[in-house]
Formats: sequence, structure tokens, C-alpha cells
Amino acid sequence: MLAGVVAVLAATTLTVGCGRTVEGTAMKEGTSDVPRNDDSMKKYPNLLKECDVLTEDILAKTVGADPLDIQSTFVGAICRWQAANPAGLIDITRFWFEQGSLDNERKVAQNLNYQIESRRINGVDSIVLKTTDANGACGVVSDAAGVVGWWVNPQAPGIDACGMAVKLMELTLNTSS
Amino acid sequence: MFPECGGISDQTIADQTKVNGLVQTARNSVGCQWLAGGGILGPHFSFSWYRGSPIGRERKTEELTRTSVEDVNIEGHDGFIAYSDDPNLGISLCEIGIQFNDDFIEWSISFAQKPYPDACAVAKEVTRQSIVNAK
Repeated sequence: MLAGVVAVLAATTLTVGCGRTVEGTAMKEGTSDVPRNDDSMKKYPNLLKECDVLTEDILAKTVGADPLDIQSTFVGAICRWQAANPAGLIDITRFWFEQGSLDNERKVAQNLNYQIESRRINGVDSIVLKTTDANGACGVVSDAAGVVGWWVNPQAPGIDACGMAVKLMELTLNTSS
Repeated sequence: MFPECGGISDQTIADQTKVNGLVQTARNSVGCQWLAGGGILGPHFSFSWYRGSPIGRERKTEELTRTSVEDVNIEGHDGFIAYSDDPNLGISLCEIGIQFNDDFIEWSISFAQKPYPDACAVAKEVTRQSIVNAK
């Protein structure tokens, strides 16, 4: 979902949330039987939180940008930001597919003819992906409660996208452990 | 399996949106994004492929923020179509999500200034082409 109206949503959610009791039993994340249909009446307690695993300050710093030079462009299970590294603009993508799997992500990467390198990040099975992009786009996907992934797409050459993506994953896996 | 960007080329995005100077700022395993001049000020167009992620949650966020969210069926596949009616711009934002078992795809079409083509017509057309491009 386009991020333009996130502020409005946050405000709405806050207002509605005041003094309201949510029925149900507290469950550990990932233990619920997530429906496959489009039953939008379901309550999703983590709505919109998924883009906030790492703060924008940390994102900006990791890709060599000033903390003021980062902007969210897309939110949901896939989040996007744009940050300004002095060498060029960088698009950051984060995804978390709670029913996804590293095997499936590997298959998709193979299908897209990406270069795939298996490695462990913070002890977690992961793959590092490279495309044929001239600016060195690089992604990292890890096996964590489904799959979590980061992509760094620079708009200029000479930026260490893989180093940045791996660093973002290390920080992510630290946070959730 | 969807190809990168749902198989939609830069040329098709330019033709459909009538926006000049679009730059593909992201191209990866979960989607693509096109921005005018490569920057965030201006229109935003994107394709996203969610694998093992419930479409219901995405639809819920749309229902909380958009003017309208309705069911849609494109090329025999069900999903939602959401739009926002901006007081100044009109219906400049349209997003379509289409379910494929545990996966879904989403096209997001957002214009930043008039004149612009029918945002939902553009969203429907690139969604249709992406579904046709899937293997």
C-alpha cells in the first residue's frame, strides 16, 4: 500500500483504539491459523508495525544517508523507503512473509536468474541475491518466522548494496531474537 | 511464477500512465517501483508480489484509509480494488490486489498532478497484463 496516507491511518487507529477492548486470547506471533481468504474483518494487531522493525534513523545510517534524508514510500508486508546516500539515491525494500519459506524464495530467485549465495546470518539460514543490475542491486532473505528479506537498489554504481543489505538483516535478526 | 515487475516494461508504464521521465528505482524479487526522475516527489507506481502473506491484512489497511474498496475479478482471479478521492486531485490513487492461493500481487498507481489518465483503468490494465505474464 502506498505510504502517502500512513499518518492519517495512524491517527485514525489511535482514536479508535482509545478505551476499546479487543476480544480474544493473547497468542504468540505466528501461532495463529492465518486465514487464506480475504476476510478483512479479521483484526490484525500488528497492522502497519512491520515496517518499523528498524527505525528510519537506523535504516538511513546503514545505507550512508542522513537520518533526515529518508522517506517511506510503501507500507505493509512489503515496505519501501528511499534514502539519499551522497553517491546516489537508494531504494530500500523490506518484506516479511509469515507464511513464506526460504525454499520458496530460493525457487523464485532461481526462476529470475539471480545469483544466489547461501550463508548464515546471526546463525540463521539465509541467501544473498544479486541481479544483473548495473548499480549492483542486492538482496538478503532469511528463514525467520516465515521469511524476512531486505533489498537495496542503488540508483548509482559504486555503492556496496550487499554490505548494506546484510547489515540490515543482522540488525533485524538481532531485534527479533 | 511472475517475472520481475510482473513482466511490465518501463515503456508500458510510460505508455499507460502518460508520465514522462519515470525511473525504475527498485527492481527485485518482490517487485518494482517507478518514480518521476527517480525521486519521491511526484507520481508513484509499483508492482509487488507477496508470497505467503494474507491478502486480508492488506485489504484491511486499504479499508481503513481509502475512499472505496470493492471486490474485483481480473482474468478469472479475485481480489480488491481500492481508490482514494482527493479533494484537489480527484481519484488519483488506485490499488488492486489479486489473490493466488497463499500469494497475492498488488499494483499501486498514484498520480501527483492533473491531467492524468483514469488511475483505476491503468491499474486494471497492468494487473491484467501481469496475470497474463505469469507462468
